[in-house]
Amino acid sequence: MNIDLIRVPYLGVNDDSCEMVNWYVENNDGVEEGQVIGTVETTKAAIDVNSNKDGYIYLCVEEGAELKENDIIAVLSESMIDESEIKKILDDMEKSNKNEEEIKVTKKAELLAKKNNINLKELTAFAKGNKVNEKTVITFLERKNSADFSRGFCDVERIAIIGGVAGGGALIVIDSILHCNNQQAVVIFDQNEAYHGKSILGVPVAGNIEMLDEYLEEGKVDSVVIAFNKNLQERAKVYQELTDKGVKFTNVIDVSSNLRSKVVIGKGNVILGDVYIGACSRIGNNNFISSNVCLEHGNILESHCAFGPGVITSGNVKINDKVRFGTGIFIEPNVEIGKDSIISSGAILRESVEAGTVVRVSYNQEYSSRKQK
Amino acid sequence: MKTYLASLNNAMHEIMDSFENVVVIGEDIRDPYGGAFKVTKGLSKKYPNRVLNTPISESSIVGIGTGLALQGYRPIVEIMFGDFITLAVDQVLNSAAKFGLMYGDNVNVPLIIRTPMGGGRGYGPTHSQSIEKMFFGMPGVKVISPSLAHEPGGLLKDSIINEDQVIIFVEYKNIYNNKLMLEGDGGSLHRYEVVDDKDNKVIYVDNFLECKPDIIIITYGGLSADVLRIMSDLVEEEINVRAIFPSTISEMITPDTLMPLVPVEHGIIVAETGAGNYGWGAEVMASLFEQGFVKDNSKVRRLSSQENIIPASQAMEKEVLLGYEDIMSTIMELMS
Amino acid sequence: MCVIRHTEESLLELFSKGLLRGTVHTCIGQEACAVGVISALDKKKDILFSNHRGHGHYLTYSDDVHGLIAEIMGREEGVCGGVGGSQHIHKNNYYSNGIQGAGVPIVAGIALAEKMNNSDAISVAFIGDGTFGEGVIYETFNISALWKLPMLVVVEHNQYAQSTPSYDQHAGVLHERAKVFGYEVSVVDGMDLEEVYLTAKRVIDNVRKEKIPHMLFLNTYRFAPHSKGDDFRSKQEIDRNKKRDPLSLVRDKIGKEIFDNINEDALSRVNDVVAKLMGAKH
Repeated sequence: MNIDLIRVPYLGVNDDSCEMVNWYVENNDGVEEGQVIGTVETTKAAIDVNSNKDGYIYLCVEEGAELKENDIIAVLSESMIDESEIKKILDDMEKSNKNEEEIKVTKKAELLAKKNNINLKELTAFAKGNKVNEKTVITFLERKNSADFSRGFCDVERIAIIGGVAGGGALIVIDSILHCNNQQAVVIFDQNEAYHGKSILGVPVAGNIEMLDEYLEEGKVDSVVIAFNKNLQERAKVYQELTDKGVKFTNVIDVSSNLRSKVVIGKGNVILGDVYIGACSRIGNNNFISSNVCLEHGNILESHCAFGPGVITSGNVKINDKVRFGTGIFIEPNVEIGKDSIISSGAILRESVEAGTVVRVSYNQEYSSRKQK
Repeated sequence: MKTYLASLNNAMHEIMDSFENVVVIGEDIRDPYGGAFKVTKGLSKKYPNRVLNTPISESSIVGIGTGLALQGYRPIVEIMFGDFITLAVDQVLNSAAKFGLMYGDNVNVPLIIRTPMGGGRGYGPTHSQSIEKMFFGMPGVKVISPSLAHEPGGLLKDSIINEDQVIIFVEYKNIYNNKLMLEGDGGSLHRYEVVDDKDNKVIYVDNFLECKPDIIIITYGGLSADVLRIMSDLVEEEINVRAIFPSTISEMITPDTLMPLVPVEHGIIVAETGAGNYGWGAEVMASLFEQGFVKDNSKVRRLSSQENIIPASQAMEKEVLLGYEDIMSTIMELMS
Repeated sequence: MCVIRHTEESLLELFSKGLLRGTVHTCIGQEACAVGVISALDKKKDILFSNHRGHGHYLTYSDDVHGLIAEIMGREEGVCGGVGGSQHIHKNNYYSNGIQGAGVPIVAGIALAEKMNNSDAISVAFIGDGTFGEGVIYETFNISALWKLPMLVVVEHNQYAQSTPSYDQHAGVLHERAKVFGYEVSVVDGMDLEEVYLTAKRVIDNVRKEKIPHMLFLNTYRFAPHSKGDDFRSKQEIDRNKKRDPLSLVRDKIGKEIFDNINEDALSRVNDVVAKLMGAKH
């Protein structure tokens, strides 16, 4: 059936709505082009509705209906009207309009998806033809995360180890990392070319520290930690240079260590097995704390220090930058150790030590062979 | 459902019926014309002696209103277009508004000046402006402007009953024929009403029953139509919007009025139809900051029409005047 | 008239001593206008709207010397608590404001109110010849004539607007202007109290009875400057006009003895008020 639509005419600048006040024709009446078939009225004026060609009329609205500009009010057909057919045509038009207008993704969902880097196609597929709303995105995110996780698609921190191959520092750091469930050592950089190409506990020694840039650029490494611990000047320098370049330092903290209440820790620290750090102690950056070290409550440890195993401090000790401790040292409460000092193994500090001091211990200890008689 | 215009026209009839001392004066307000925008339609038929057509003499008729008010009448003066109120500003500023303040306590000038502001109807540069800001900060003058979420006639009646000073009652001509959003009639929108200690009737509208607003829009008058439409449209999009429409626009916004701002998620939009410089929005923004409701200025936007004349051509007028699209795109910008 | 004259003279004196601030517009020389017109009004019901030069009007209306001087001195006991000062005064049915011509439509509104009340009160606007430059008065001449409002416009034509002579700012004949709107205009010698009073009485009765607007156009002259330091008129001109001092004209009519008694009473009354106010300050 060939049909034309008759709509509410232009109502003038002051009105956008009107009332259908009169029809002068009935369904299936024949009308001529230009014939007045009805009247609409705005708050200000009555406006006639004309037929735009010869044909048969079908009325879509009743007298008294409230209408907006451009609403369909009648259908004009070249042939006699079949009411059910007209209705079907109008319904189809309405449906196709609706489909076009139907919102597939709400704006809120769209913005949320964008923030989480989710592709809209993925979302619409996930919604299986239903509207994608905020809840869809949240559910999608939860599902996606949990599915990924169950397949092991989860993020771990990938750490580069700097130096410490010869002295064994790299080994004990990697060992600690191996026991940690969200960190992974991925590469070692060491200046000693003899070790290049070898692996420590499965972690390759890739080359010089200069290669770090490449690894960072390619996104193979998330953060770094320094494993050498003899030359503290160098340790501090490397830390500073890399930090200035924006390289991220991480803390490696062994699962067996015991950090008590309100301990504050900076960046780039290595805290190995069975270390105890007492309540309310503060640790700066880039310290290397070997196993079985005990720093009691309220200690302040500044940066770039190295501890051999078994150093034990009492409460409220303060240790300034770049202090190197040997093995098995005892420090009494409230002692302060000045920066750049070296404390030899077996020392017992009862009072404070000024900066740059080397504390030596005179041994009076003999080694003699015990022969079997 | 009632329109903005019908509410005002009904209220005029009720007011003239209830208060015999109300006199309505203005240009072309008598029947059969009933005023340029029909607010006074039917009044002169019922009250022929209290509805007076005047010559085109805005200054004189406001002065006559002042004289009537001094003698105990409750005059309502209609200025046909808000743009023409400039011709009567001296009478408002130097006489009507002053008398109550400078002559001592026993003189009141309860004068209501009704006038339509705003564009959107193609009337061009001198018939489309929103210049009510001239009266902001004028001692002795209160400016009231109903939104579609108010009952405009109710505000007019309240002005007759409660006020004893000069009221500039600003109607918005772009929404005269719009339907009011009264309680229950707003589709999915929810309306709350608060009256503050200065008789400012503040309407809050939320587009979700439990609204955790993503966006708060503070505006008044004719923009309420655009804002309410935006809010309805954003229901589908799951974006929570709370609109705040004060009725008194010449007073500082009180902290109580702003309290519902606190949990806003993404941002606050302050919008006005007039040109924005030194305008209402600036004062509202100042209140927001001074009272500590906004700390992060990346989250607030002040919107207004362009600082320009208002062209007659539909396309050019649309470009100059703040409307649906500008507000909508600002919402999206704040949300992303 | 004598009270007005002495009040204003002492105001000028206080001003020159620096005891008053702001501005003082005196009507010295125009006293017959104020007294003649206002004496013909019914002070109980008629409403007056005066202007910036309103001391004479106010004193004739209220006889409140203390309230006026205290107001101008900025005292709380002033008639408007010191807020209004010289130009913004209100008491009972008396109002004044400092904007040229702005009171005229307000007087029309008051007249409309009284007409609607079916009272026989009338309202009166005082304007000067300078005010004829303001547009709002013509809007109001038109409306008040059209609506037949019971109002009287009193023009005190003192020939100067501040320093500019009337002939330098107005075209044509001023007293003809309101006639074209249908106003009746009575032109009177404003220096002659008797003539002012008798004409005013007749005109006011007519306005009251016929409920139509009327203009009383009084030719007068101000002897003192507009306010302060803005007088460039020749001494000869002022002296020539002073020969027709309204107070002298009255003295000639009522006799020197009676006049002097009245005048001395007025002077001592004003002096008492001023002395009291000056004393109260310290």
